[in-house]
Amino acid sequence: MSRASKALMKNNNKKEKEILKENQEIYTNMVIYLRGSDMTEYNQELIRGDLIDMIIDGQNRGDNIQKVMGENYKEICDEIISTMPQKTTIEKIMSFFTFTFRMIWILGVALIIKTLIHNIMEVEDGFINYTLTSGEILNGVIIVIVAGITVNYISKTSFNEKKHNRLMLFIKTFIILSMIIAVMSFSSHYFDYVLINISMLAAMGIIVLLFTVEKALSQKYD
Amino acid sequence: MLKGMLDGCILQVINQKETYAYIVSKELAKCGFGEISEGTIYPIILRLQKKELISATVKKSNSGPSRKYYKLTSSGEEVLKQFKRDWDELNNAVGSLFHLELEGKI
Repeated sequence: MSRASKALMKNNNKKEKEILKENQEIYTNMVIYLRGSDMTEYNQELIRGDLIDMIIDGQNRGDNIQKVMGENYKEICDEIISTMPQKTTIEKIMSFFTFTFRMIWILGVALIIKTLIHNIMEVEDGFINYTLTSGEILNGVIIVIVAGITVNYISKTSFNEKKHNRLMLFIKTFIILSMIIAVMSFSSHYFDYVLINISMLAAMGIIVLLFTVEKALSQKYD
Repeated sequence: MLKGMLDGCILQVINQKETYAYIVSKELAKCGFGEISEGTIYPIILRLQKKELISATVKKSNSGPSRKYYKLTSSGEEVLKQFKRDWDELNNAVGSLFHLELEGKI
């Protein structure tokens, strides 16, 4: 994220606290929906700042968010999205890589910690080597895909007013999670062929490199 | 057509004095446009800004957060003049049509 976006976000996070509880749900849904659009993060923050100002100004007049926004929240968000400049194809590709690199270095850090603990417990030398099996790589890919789909699903359905049957929702989530866990367990158990075997320091270097590239991409394209 | 009309009417309100979105919606309501929320006005204002027909200045408010005040640019003034000409033509055309009906010619 660029410095300008960060500064805007910080300012918006501060202003956002003034939004009354009764107006927060609709405001949050609008922001989540806008987050799922192809606007740059900078433009998302600009719009978010305007929305916060409108809502707080309305609150000061005694108007709630329904009065200020006019109740067609999704249509308003769609109009805003269609008006604002969208990311170019290159920016979209770079955003994809930024997200993927971010997920990889986070998973990489988790795996390094896991390997360090394992090595210290088993062979009393945490820095021996860093191995990745085909199963662990496949599981990493699954986690990245599931995270991407989940974020996209949440943003696209933020305005769904259909009352969810809590039991059905629980059953659906339980079945999907069970399937994902089953596939990941199967993969880590059976796909144990070691694809990467490098020193721990080299692994840490790669993670730092991915982290740096992700931050650079994020600053330029978000 | 109605969407374009609202754009023109918002330009006209802003042309009268530098103002912010809430006042635009109130002025339109006063003229008989009914309740048009600030949320409905906001995307149109963004569009007018994108077309560089209006420009925004952030000003501090005594009663809450800073407000964005809008004023017409020179292109905005030209577009507003054209909108008024188009509206006159349309108004005359529709008027003539109703006049013919009154005279029993259609």
